[in-house]
Amino acid sequence: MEISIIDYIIIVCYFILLFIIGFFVKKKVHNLNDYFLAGRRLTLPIFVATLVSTWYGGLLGVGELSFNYGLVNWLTQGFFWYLVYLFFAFFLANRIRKSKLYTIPDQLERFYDKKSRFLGSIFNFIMVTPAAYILSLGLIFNILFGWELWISIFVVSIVMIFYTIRGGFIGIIYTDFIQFILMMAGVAMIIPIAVQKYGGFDFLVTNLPETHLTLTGGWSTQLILVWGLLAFWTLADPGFYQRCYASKDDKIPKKGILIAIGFWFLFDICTTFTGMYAAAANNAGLLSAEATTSYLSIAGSLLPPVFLGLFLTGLIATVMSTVDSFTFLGAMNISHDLYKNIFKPNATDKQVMNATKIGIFITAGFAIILALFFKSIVTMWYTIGTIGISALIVPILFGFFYKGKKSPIAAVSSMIFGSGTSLSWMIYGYLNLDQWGWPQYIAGIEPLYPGLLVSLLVFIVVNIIHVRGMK
Amino acid sequence: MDPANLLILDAVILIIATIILSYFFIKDIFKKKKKPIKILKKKKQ
Repeated sequence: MEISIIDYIIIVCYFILLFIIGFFVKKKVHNLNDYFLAGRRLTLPIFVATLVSTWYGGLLGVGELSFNYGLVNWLTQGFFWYLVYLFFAFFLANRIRKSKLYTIPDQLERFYDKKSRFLGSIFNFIMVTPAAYILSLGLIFNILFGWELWISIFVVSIVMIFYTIRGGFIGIIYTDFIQFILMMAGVAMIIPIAVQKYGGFDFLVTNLPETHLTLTGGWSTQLILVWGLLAFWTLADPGFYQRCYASKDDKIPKKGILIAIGFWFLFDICTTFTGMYAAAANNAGLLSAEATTSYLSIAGSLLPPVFLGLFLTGLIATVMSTVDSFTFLGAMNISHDLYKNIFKPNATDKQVMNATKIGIFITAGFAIILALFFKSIVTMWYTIGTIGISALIVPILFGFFYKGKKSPIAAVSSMIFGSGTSLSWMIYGYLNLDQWGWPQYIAGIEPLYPGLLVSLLVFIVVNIIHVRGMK
Repeated sequence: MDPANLLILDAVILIIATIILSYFFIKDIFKKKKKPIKILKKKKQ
């Protein structure tokens, strides 16, 4: 891919802008509430911009799926998620905002006890690990600048750590806005050019396998449903919770999520078809592309200088906005949920803020190690999502919706056995690979199903026994 | 009509929606805050 000097200048300017924001935003932080939740002052447009940009981070993973399988990407990465977003907007958002807490483990302590908070914090930390996104950025920089993967990851992490440490959530909001504009513009500009250069729908029909143009993509129903279940991630997503807590009033979260769904819908159409155009052009011999980096290849081939720079910056911004938010959430997990609420309850605001800054380094460090260990972004999503969801969803949903007495032991057991089952199932699968190197699970069942089922059953049984015992 | 035109329409709507949201975002960020000193003075009176 040929990148002109002007494109490099645009990318460098973007990073300088992030540094400048990081430098000036510190004066906006007056207390811990500002640092964690921007003083709970998010208005509707700010809520939407920060939610849309943060939530969408796995652009290369989406490229990989749409390149390899076509429209099924929209079904599994879009449609199922919209349904869960709607559920979140109508049934959870307002309750979360009204609780006026800070994190998901806060909710677990409210519903159950401190032990549930502690265990929930660990799973929460796993879920916000931005390893998949740091790997994405590393790959992008590796291709753009030719740097080694670890150097790319290191450089990106330094910039992100700088503005996140200085501005906390306020810094994230300001940078999210820039990133929101760049990601929308970047993704939207490529589709009209692809249609003009390669041709309309006929080009896709001629050059893609039939399955690419079906919603199921030739996948088994079970695999589609597992991806559908992964959408439940939203119900335990710390980024969603954090933005609901930070809203200025009770109506903003619901309205904001509904508007955000509109943005995601438009955005998902663009990303899915960009990946499909890349695959079709590749099959037609007009482009040499690989699945993981298909967006970079098609952009490099289609876009003129300046536009290419803007697209690449948009691509980086999409991932960057998620990396910073997730890193900050991981740090809040360490400082607020563990340090302040478990180990040092009388810690001052300043001590908690300092612990958060150390937490940013710890979270980023953990993610970097994982990113260098795993090779596929999609595999990493799947693994983290499966373990985290099978641990957290059941206790959280029971906490919000079950009116009867709730047992803390049921919550803890459900988290341990649910995630333990998923993990064991997964390990078994990876110890028994088939001839193509894919894991073979017991009875062909994906790990999330038994994990969620065990989590649910354990919760119900233990809750009944323990609540009876309490009486 | 070629369905690809709908893709272009999708991209155009995305850009317009982004511009509108950005306008309101900037408006909110630079909105002047009420001055708390005046309220305090009133209370004292």
